[in-house]
Amino acid sequence: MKSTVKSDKKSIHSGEASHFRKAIRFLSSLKLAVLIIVGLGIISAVGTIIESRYDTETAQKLIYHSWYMWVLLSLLATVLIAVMVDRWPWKSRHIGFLFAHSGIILLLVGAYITHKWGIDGTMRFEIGEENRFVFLNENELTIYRSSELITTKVYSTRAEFLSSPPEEKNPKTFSTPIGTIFIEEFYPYALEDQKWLPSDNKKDGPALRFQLENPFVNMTEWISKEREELYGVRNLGPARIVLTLSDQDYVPLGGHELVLRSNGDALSYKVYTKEQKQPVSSGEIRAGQTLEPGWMKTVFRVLKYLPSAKRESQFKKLERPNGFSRAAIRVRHKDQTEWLGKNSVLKLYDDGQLYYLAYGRERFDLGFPLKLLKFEIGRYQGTRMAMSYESEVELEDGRKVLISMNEPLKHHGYTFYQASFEEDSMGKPRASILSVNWDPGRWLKYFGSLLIVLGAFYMAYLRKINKKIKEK
Amino acid sequence: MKILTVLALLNLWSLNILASSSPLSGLAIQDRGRVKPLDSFSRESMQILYGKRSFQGKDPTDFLFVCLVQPKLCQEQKFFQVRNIRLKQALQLSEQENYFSPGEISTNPHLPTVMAELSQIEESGEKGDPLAEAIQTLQSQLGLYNSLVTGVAWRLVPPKEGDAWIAYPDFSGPVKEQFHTLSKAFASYLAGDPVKERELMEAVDEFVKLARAENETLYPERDLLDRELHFNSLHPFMWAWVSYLVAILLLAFSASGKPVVIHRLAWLSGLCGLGLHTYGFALRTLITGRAPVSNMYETVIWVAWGAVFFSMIFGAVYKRVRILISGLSVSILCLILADLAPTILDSSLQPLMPVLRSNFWLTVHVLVITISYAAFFLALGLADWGLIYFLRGESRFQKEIKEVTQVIHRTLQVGVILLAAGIILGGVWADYSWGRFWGWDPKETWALIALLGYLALLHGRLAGWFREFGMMAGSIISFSLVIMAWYGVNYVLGAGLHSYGFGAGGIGYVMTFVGIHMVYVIFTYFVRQQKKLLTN
Repeated sequence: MKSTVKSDKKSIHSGEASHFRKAIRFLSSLKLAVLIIVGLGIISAVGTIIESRYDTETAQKLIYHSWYMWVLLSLLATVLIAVMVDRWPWKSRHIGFLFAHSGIILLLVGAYITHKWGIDGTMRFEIGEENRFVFLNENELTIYRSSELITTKVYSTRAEFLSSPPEEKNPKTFSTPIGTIFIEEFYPYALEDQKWLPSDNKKDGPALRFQLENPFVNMTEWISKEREELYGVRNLGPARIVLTLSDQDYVPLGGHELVLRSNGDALSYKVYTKEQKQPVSSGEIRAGQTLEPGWMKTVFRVLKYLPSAKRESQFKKLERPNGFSRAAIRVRHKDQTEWLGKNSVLKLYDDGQLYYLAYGRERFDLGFPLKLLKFEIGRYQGTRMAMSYESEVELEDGRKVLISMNEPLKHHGYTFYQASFEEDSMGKPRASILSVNWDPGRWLKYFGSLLIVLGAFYMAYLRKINKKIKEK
Repeated sequence: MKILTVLALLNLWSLNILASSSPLSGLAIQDRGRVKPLDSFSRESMQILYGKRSFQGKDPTDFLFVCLVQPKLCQEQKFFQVRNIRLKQALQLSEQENYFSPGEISTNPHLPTVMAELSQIEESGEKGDPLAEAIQTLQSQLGLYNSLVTGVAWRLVPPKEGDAWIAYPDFSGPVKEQFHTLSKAFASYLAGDPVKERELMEAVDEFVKLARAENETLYPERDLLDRELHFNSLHPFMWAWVSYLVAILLLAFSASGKPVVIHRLAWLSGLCGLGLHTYGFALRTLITGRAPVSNMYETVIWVAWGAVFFSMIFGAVYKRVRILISGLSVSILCLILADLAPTILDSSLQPLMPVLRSNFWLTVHVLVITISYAAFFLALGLADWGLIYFLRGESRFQKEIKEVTQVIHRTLQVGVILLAAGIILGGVWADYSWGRFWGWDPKETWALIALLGYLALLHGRLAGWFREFGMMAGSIISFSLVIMAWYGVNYVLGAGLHSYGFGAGGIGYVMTFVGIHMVYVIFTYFVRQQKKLLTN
């Protein structure tokens, strides 16, 4: 390889060959710089492919925010510093070079500050709702103690399993106030499949597995009535199936409905149709028996009936995420082992006391509430295409503010951006999603950027002009 | 100098020759979120149905209006484009033909099975299945055709309240009557009677008057519609590349020692082309009220503009014909592609996604980033040129090789500054509207990768790794990073926040382009090694 080391590099430090000089000389080599640049490029490219094949969170946690990305970026910063030290004493022709390189360093420092101390999350509220919590991108395990009226947080810890997943033989352990919790397995993308098992606890509600069959449909589903619900319901297109403990708990809405009432070992039913207010038929039904409600030749068959049932979640591991998948962990606490999906909770007991274990995105308390008063979507004329979104929110002092696309709200140092929204099945907006941000590295990044642009511009143009002036 | 003026005028005159259109074309219609002249609506609709903007030389507006007033005539015309072989097989259509009549399709007994297949593919969650895409296209063709025949697409009258225009089936009162008069006049006009054409025009004027009276504020001014009609009939970007081509031919001619006047003519033709290019751009901006860089088509046009612009500046500074020729060739390639591949590069004027609306920083960051691509594209053109010298004999063309490398270096510097500035401006914009300076979004990440690629090239040159050949090969290879950032993220990766620019298709063309260049570089490398061995 031919190398054209610049002459000024040699002349400056020729006398002293200390270790420091040697290190500087090595770190300031252009070849090392090129290798780092190429390395960053390759890693980033791999990141985009991972994002395309999996999802954004996977790419962020495995690549962009990984330890080796930070190592490479720190190495880049070190090389940039070394190169500037190596050029000492600086001359006027170094200005562009110094600006651009120190700009990059400031940008990297700013980025690190943002990553380390900044807040970047989302906040969701339905219209009329008040919220003070922001969900961050990091995941956490939290334990709440539940008593009659209040739940209190007793434990919380960061819980990332993507880059080093737990194994059966090598589980992740968390020492908590209610004893050690083991995370034995982690599925980054899993589909939940729920089933019900007989329960000894008579307080648990009933569940049944049924089949609906007609020339167009053949489906098998579970329906259950949970302890805290008045009745369980399954909406199946034009028909509705309801499971209840007493007839008083449920008033038919006026459509095709099959209302099942559980009284111990027996199961009775009432069938309603669109046309009639009174049930068109009623009777008792047992597991293995069928009935014909008279809707489009449908046959309803009870496959299994459990007077008291407890739910068990199972997760099927997927290679890649799809629209319905989420992460799931297998949790072991004392003699209880259960799967827990992301953004849901698990009941745990310690000394007869009920606790909830939550796994999901880290929740951050802003320290002040925001209330969503109104949410509106502007649409392109004569279409359903969204043109603009805006949320009207009320601050804690009663002030009303409008947040719209490109018009964020700045409040208590945080910035609230209109990010997204949710619609109900009728296409009416239901909830607004704001992106919430506090960025202590912002001005460093801006200043660094400015230096980079000025420096690059200076290097490309002014140096040439200076040269010309000197030549004259 | 007189010859020059005449030539310039000729160039401009030729533009209006093609502008003969239907008397209906100036009616205003509300379609896909925008009020536009019927002419634009018809062209865009024909694009969806037929894959071209007019059917067998007929005016698209006339043709589609027939579908409304005499559906039977239109039902047997073969203007449904179906190209996917699997879809044709599934519908049991002739595999040799690409165009079918609405009758053949809508009453096809296998259509329900095909539609069921689509929902199956969609449920499986698989992306980018060609059959699924073909069925979706067919679905939108059928939907559009039905709305044309039943009249719900013809939203020609503004509402008294609200903003959804009234379509043909809901016309009432004098508007309805006048529309019948107009339809009758249209039928006789179709027979080709020039007197009837005047009658039709009067009927159209009367209809416009009535429609405008329904809601004065919503009905667009005449000159707004005229401007868009003018844009539609002018084809500024086509004439731009024709002028560029003329310029290249003249330059090639003048290079063989012909008089200076030819050289000047070449420049003039090039400038004429740039003028038209700019004019077309300005018209698009005026019509949509935003800088036209919001989809792939528009950025291709903009990059083509930038390549010519940079090559003219460098061409004037370094006084070398090959710089201008490189820029013009690159630009012609872009513009022809934009003309020829309308299904991949959608040239219709579309409304913007919410996040893109009326934002200064957005416009600036996209303009700056894409114009840097123009500089890199020019560098690729120059490198293509420069490698020929290596093939023809390195030692004989030492001087030329040095010169080309110097210009490439300069072009890359300009590109790197613009790209760095553009990425930073993009960060500023993202910070401003999303609160995130940098979010590792694939579009921004690939722009950064392209920047890193060129930075590696420039620093590698300083380190002595890349000399003349290395710089040329590097500019060609690094351009594939630009292609990935520019085209690949939207059309291949298909992920991320910049999803508003997503599209499909064209991978074959792009891969061919990249592949040929890679082969070219490798071939030159081996030829060079061979020659070195021989001389040693």
